[in-house]
Amino acid sequence: MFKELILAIIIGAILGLGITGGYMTMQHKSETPKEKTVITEPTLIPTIPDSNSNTKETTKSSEEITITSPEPDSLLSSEKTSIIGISPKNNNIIIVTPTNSFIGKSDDKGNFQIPITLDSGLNLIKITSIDQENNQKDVSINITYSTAKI
Amino acid sequence: MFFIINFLLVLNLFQQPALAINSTASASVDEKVESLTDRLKQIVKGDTPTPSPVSKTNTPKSFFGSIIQISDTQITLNIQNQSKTLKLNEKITYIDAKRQKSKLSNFKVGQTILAMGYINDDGSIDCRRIIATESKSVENNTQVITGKIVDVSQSQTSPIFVLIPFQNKNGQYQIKTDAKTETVDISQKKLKSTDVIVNSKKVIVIIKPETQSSQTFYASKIISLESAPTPTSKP
Repeated sequence: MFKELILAIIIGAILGLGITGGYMTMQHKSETPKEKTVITEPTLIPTIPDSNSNTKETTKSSEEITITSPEPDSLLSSEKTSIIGISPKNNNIIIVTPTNSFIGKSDDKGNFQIPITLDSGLNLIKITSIDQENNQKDVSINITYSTAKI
Repeated sequence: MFFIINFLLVLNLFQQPALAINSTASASVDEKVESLTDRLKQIVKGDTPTPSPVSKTNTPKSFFGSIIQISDTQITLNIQNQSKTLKLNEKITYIDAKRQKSKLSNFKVGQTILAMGYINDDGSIDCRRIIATESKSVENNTQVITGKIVDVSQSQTSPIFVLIPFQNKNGQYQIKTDAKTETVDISQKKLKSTDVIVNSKKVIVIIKPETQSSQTFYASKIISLESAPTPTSKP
């Protein structure tokens, strides 16, 4: 009788401990990924800078003509660059810097790439797209040319 | 006695190791978190002179605007009715309007400047160079007008003409030319001015307002929208 009683206690204890141990192990495993999330939770995740949103606003100010390169407010160290963009197909493209003007044409897909020469310092560049029916669309971007190291 | 020892052994087997693993694991995780956070803080602090989080992978930018607020640590710039914060540091080069080196105390509210630097993650500018720049010196008042020439007259040596723009047929531009005015076709082939500046000709004109009169414009380039006349052979 005493033996059975002890045996029952031991079996009960083993079962109880087993279940508790299993439960705790499961709980620990389920908590681990949360801790990992905390580790990798970045205080330094790069957020989208304001300039990007400004860029979109500036370049999409007209649906008819979009400048893809250079980005508005770019600071370039070379006076030679190209204005790359998209307009309706086969449009005449006129680019005007403070002292120069450049002529080009968009291709059958509407893409254009026109080499220009920048003035030293800030350049307010006006880009005009003129279609076959002489409808005109204008956009402008600021580009700075400076050889100063920053 | 045997059973009690056995019971204690079972307890040891199940509980002690589990607790030990748990505590060491969480301790090591906490340590890693702390060391990683400290390291990242060091990197950020070490690379930048100001505590703002700077992303240096971006390309340099320049911004032109007028100063609306100025302090020892930052300048607030008004750029086309939007404000932009320039973070200041000891590395900044200040240039005055005469292109001479200057200092922050020489810059005042209302002054227009060209600021160069990198965009921080918070949208402010990690400024590197500030140049006093007058608005007049950077404005581009050149216009591109597409229209039809309606009236040509000769003034001394160069022709003057009136252009009716296609986009506003009620408006008109009085345009002067001179020896420097380029006359080309759309493929940039040079043309004689007498072939381009004629009545009813459709042209694109690149003009600037005359300094003496706001009513008259000066044409730097006239682009013919019609193909050049081909020479006819005699019968």
